[in-house]
Amino acid sequence: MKLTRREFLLSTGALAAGGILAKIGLDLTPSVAYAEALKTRYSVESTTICPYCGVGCGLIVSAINRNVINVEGDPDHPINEGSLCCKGQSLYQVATSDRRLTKVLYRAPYSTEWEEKPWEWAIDRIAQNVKKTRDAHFIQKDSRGRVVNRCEAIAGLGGAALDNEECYLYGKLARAMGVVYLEHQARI
Amino acid sequence: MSERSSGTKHGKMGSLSDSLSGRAGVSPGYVRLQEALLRYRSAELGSETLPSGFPSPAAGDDAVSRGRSVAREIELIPESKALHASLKRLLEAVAGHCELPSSFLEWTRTSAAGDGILEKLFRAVTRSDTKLLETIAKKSGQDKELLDWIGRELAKPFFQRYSRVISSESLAKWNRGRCPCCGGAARMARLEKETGRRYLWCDLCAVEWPFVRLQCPFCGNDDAEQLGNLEPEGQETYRIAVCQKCKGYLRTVDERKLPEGVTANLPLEDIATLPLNFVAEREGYRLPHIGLE
Repeated sequence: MKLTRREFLLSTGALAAGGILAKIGLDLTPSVAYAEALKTRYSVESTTICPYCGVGCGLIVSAINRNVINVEGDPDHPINEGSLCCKGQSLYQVATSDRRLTKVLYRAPYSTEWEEKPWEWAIDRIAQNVKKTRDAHFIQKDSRGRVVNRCEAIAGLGGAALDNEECYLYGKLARAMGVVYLEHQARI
Repeated sequence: MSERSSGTKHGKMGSLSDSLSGRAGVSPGYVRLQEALLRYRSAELGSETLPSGFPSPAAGDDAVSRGRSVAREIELIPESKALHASLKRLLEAVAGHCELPSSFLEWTRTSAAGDGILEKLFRAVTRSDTKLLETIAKKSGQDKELLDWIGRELAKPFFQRYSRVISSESLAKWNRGRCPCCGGAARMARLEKETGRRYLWCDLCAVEWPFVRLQCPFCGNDDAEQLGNLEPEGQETYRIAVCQKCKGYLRTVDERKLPEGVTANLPLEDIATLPLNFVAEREGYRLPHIGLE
């Protein structure tokens, strides 16, 4: 006789959780049948830090197949203990909003249209403009002849979304170019 | 520990049948058995005095405040007379609601009455000592799972009377995977309505205590990539926290998904979510056992 999966489970008491209940004569058919039909999805949670201000609130991000399904305050984080400000609470939208830009858009001078560009093009373009600005405005010596090697035409602004290492690299890059107007959003 | 809105930490609640009416997947026979067990526990818990032979409240609270489960520090075994009287009342309570083998009932009347066997069974189940349980099963010729089940049901009123003396302050600071009273594995968890903080619950002692969200309470694994949740479709109030390392699982109620003003009654949810055990086991996870090592 061929047994269905349910019959097999009930007849053998193979389920540890229900094994003893079946042994003492309880009819678990409704529970087993219900469980058998119940589908599940597997989600994972990971902790991270809010990308906005410098407070550094802890977050728990839930995802299924790497798609974010929920963002909430981390109740075990010592700074925010689960609470979030309204910006932090809207972080889920940052990840999932259909208005989020996922490709480089470029609007040429005097143009009214946006056009899609590859990342490589955008990075080259930024590098070219930075170098052009820096070369055009680089000050090697001040009015009294002292060597200053600075560029006053570019300002650098770090943000709370940057971690320590990124801030370090950004600071190094800016100073190598002679940038003196170097700030961080969290200090403003 | 504050009382839950739809029950109390010691499991006093209204009719189970009424509370569980309309809940899918609940077996009527299972509910009737749980109602009988609940009546038995309520009667046993009526006494405010601590079980005879148990240590003073101060000794237990002191152990917990030092980060040690009470049962690990102090032997929690009731006096033989009280144990035998409780077993008799327990068997009377469940009679008619389940089918206990006649050989087992005969054993409880004869062999179990002497030789300190009940005390050994009590020790085995409350310390999750599987070796001792196997020895008792082998010597008595009784089914190990049946002994484990009856032993735990027997122990519950004793441990629940004792767990009352552990202060809320000590429980709030516990933050460990194992129960502060018996040292065993948590049976269920809830995510607190206001904060999303996780509280674990022990069915043996009927106590709950806070524990971090992203760590397995059974093996201590805190690698987020090895931790996950099985989310039953259409039941957003429930999730089954699972660990890929130890393959343990924990049924969890997310109070934030419950209606305004309603919080989780874990003794009730333990009964209502029996099918989730089957789901977890179908997916390859198992109920964990934590011994006192």
